[in-house]
Amino acid sequence: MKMTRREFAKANAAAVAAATAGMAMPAGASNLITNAELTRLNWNKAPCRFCGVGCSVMVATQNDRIVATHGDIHSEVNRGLNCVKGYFLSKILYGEDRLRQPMLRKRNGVYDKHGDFESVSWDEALDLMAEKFKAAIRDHGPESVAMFGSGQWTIWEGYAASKLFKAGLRSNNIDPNARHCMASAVFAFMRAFGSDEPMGVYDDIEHANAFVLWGSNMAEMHPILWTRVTDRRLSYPDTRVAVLSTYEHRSFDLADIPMVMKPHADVVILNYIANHIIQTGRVDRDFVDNHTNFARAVTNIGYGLRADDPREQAAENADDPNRWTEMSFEAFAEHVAPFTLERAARESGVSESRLEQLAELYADPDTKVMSFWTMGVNQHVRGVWVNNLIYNLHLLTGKISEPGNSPFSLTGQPSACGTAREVGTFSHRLPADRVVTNPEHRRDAEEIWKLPEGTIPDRVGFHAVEQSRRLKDGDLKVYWTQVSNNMQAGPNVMQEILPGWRNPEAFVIVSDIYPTASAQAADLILPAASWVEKEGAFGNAERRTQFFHQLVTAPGEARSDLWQLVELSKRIRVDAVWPAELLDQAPEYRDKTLFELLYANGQVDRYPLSDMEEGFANQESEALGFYIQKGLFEEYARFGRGKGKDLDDFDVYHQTRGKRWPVVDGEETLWRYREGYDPYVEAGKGVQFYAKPDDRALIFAVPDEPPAEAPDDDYPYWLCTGRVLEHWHTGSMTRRVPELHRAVPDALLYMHPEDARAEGMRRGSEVKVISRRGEVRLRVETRGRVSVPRGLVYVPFFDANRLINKVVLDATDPISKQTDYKKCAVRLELISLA
Amino acid sequence: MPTDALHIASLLVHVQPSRAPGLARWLEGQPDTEIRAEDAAGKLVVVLESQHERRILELVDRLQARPGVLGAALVYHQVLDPATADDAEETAEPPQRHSEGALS
Amino acid sequence: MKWLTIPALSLALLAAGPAMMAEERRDAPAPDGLRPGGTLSQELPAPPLAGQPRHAGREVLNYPEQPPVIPHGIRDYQVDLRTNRCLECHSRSAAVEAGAPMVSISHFRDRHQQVLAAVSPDRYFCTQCHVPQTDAGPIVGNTFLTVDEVLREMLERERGEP
Repeated sequence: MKMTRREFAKANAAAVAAATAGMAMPAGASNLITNAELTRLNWNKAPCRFCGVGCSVMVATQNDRIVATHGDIHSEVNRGLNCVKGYFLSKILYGEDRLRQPMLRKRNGVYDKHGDFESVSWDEALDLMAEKFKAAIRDHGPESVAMFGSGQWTIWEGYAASKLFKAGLRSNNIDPNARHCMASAVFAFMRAFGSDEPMGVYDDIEHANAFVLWGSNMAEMHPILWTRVTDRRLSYPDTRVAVLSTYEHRSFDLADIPMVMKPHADVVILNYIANHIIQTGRVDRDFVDNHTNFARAVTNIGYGLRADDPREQAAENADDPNRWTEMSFEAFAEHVAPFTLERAARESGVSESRLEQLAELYADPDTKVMSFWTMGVNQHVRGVWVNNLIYNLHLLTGKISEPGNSPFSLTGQPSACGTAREVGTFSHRLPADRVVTNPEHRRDAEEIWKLPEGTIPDRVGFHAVEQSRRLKDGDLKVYWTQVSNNMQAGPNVMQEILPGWRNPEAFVIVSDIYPTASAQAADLILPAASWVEKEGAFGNAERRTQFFHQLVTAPGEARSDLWQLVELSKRIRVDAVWPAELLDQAPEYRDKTLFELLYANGQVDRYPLSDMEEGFANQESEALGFYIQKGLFEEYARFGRGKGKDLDDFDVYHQTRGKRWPVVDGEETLWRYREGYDPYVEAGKGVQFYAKPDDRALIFAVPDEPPAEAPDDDYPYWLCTGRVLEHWHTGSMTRRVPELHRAVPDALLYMHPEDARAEGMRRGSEVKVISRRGEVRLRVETRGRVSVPRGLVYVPFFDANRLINKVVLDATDPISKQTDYKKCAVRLELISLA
Repeated sequence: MPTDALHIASLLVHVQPSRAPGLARWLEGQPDTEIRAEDAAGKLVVVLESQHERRILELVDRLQARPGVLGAALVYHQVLDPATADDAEETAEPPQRHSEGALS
Repeated sequence: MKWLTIPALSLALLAAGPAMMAEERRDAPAPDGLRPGGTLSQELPAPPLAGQPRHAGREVLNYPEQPPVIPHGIRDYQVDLRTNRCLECHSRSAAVEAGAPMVSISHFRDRHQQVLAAVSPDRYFCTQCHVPQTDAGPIVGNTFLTVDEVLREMLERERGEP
């Protein structure tokens, strides 16, 4: 064949446009293409692999390889745009060191905790796993095994894993890395509204005339939503943007009201705004009287540290922090009255005039205000409280559940909502907002799963931080992590995580696509398939469920997490892991494998391969002989239908750019709880928070309580950790993309130039950052994208060679058990001036 | 504006089906413009090459003004080096896809 | 605001304990990744700040819609509500005189695919897509192939060449 570069480009241009329109390119359409079959690119949609915004991209494949990606103009989320990470999606699967074979630590041909990694077959790996799980449960009970999963699991992977643990192995010790990211948001939603996830949608951006960022750097972490906020702000000059953080970052570039506050001062500021709304008579009394109740939360709730820590022992409500009592509006007004403007300014360091401007965005009835927040609020020892304090402002003013008036909790992972939250892969949850501690909820799940009563344990399992501690203490014997990298992302690596993983009592399995820090600390490494190497589904932050097909084959022997879960289930018999009393209730299950119990159960295996869309591979289903993704999804969807969490039929999602639940009669829902938008609201109610027994949302009175650790003479700086635009979380994908790596090659220590001078340091100096828990060597940066105030240093966590979480304290919000990665105390030591 | 670049672009045009034949005739009269695909619903894939980016924008504007056109959207834009544009794509040298003239 | 004060001593006591025993078994051998294998408990020296590349020039794109990287430094460039330093050279009107590449025409479309006279506001913050490059070498290689390379491989295979 002969084709010039010009002709090739034109053929490609035409193919892209045709694919965008869903048009077939007739073979003879171009007289220039001499070998159309060979040069035709195959374009398909997929949601982006990175954050929770959920942009859709078009992926071009040729000869079983991804050759290009671009923004999907048909996606309402991103309308053809991507951020720099999204534009480089094409390269994330092609790092030279992709894991291609299982690897096991061995000595003299057998597994040995202290051995060297050797390649092994899948059969050897899975047989050993099955043996370890069975032995642990036999000798130490089901609480001796645990799994750490992810908001990057596809929906069916999370569902299959949750079912394997909670029903098959009968252990609730399964938790997602979303615990580190979203747990505070989940608990606050449940407390205030009785149902998880936002009432609004991204469309609110185009309706709002004020945006408030509470501890969120959307410009870097949610770039495509930031393009929509920017568009709104620049197109409608009366729009106001307020940005509040403990340091200046790129989102400040768009700010009309920029505010740098002292760490932990958000509680005071939010209480002040509520007070301002009340004092200036701008409470929407009609809304408040008809749709809300007031609650006084229990206080002195501790910091989620180990029970023997003096800070826990001093906290009277540490054991049961998620309680409250009813109160009146008048009592609430009295509670917030001491939070004056003067006090808020003094304790936060933000000027009175800016705080008042901020308060007015909420108080002014003519301003439609959208609040955004992420890790500054969620990763907070009082994260649940702060989430609730934000809802308070929207509820007091009735600015909620309508276009433009929207408290909006953002998410960091592509399926933090879809998988971790909706499927309920947390150690306390079951699908569709159910919890393991509620007998009716357990019974619902057992019925849908066709299991005897009492199968699902009634105790909350070990959450992420607790898992690390239990590994160290020797209570956990088998630990499996998928799509996560807790050795880098978890807190207090040196004291709690690494000792636990290397504890000779524990057998640690890591499934991943690259040799991450976690894989390096494991005993068995399983090579995983990722993103479009498998059929998948993600749910984004605006309740949008999006599907993608398998478009390329995973390298070597890499297999999807779903395949791994299912293959393990085939190797464990029910009678090896269930107690006699339960087996007696269901003797027909005795001789079955967990695979037959959970997946070949007449429901998950009911859809034939002929249901698969033609032209797409599906490695797992082809191997199993049934369409497992459809079976898992349809079984899972039964939990939410009729409960306000309705999903559409499986097949619909492959044909659309996603739909926002609840999807009732094929129609998605934009604004929940509002008549005219949400089909669950009864006629004539106007607004109905129907997930609460009395249809009323809760406004919470909470006080100011101190953080778990604060700077002192020995450790005089606040340390705040976080992310950067170019890298995603622990950088295992983005740091293997040359362009992204060259853009931001190393994590740096951002500090104020005057602090540097006072410490005898300067830009480029190598220093040690030391806390009571560990130390890390870093180079000083005194300029650049992050501008910190004096007394605070900032370090991103993407860099595996600078494990900043060795330094971070494992204090959590005691309600949500989410770690506070934003506040601990450190000192700095100069190594070399440079 | 640099002119030492060759711009290849594709547009997706949606026209009322009854107006499609007229629009196709009009497009055929435009220089360096080709219709690469069309369907019964009135969607056309138009490929354009030009030495000036401005021409691409102008064509979008003019298309939007044509009778019956519901929408015209730029889908694809690539910039080639004219010096090597007519080299065979399959040559052994590494392909050059410089970004001259564009921050796409 | 009141802070909880904890005597540093009690924490230090809590931290010590089994540390010595644990130390020896931590750094089990492991494959190299972004971090060298078997080093998790160690403190690796921090490499010097990455510098500007010596040969700044326009980079070859991997595929058509990849945003070009920025072949020059952008330190202290102001891009905010008041001004956009990037557009001072790259805008349609300034590009010729500045000798800079003009913003792609794709940037003149808004969210609704309407063509605008100026850069669409949703594209205002350039560094969300265009990033500068340092001289840092790759930690691990990347085997991505452009469509041209994939096609060449296929053609070679078709012709029976190795």
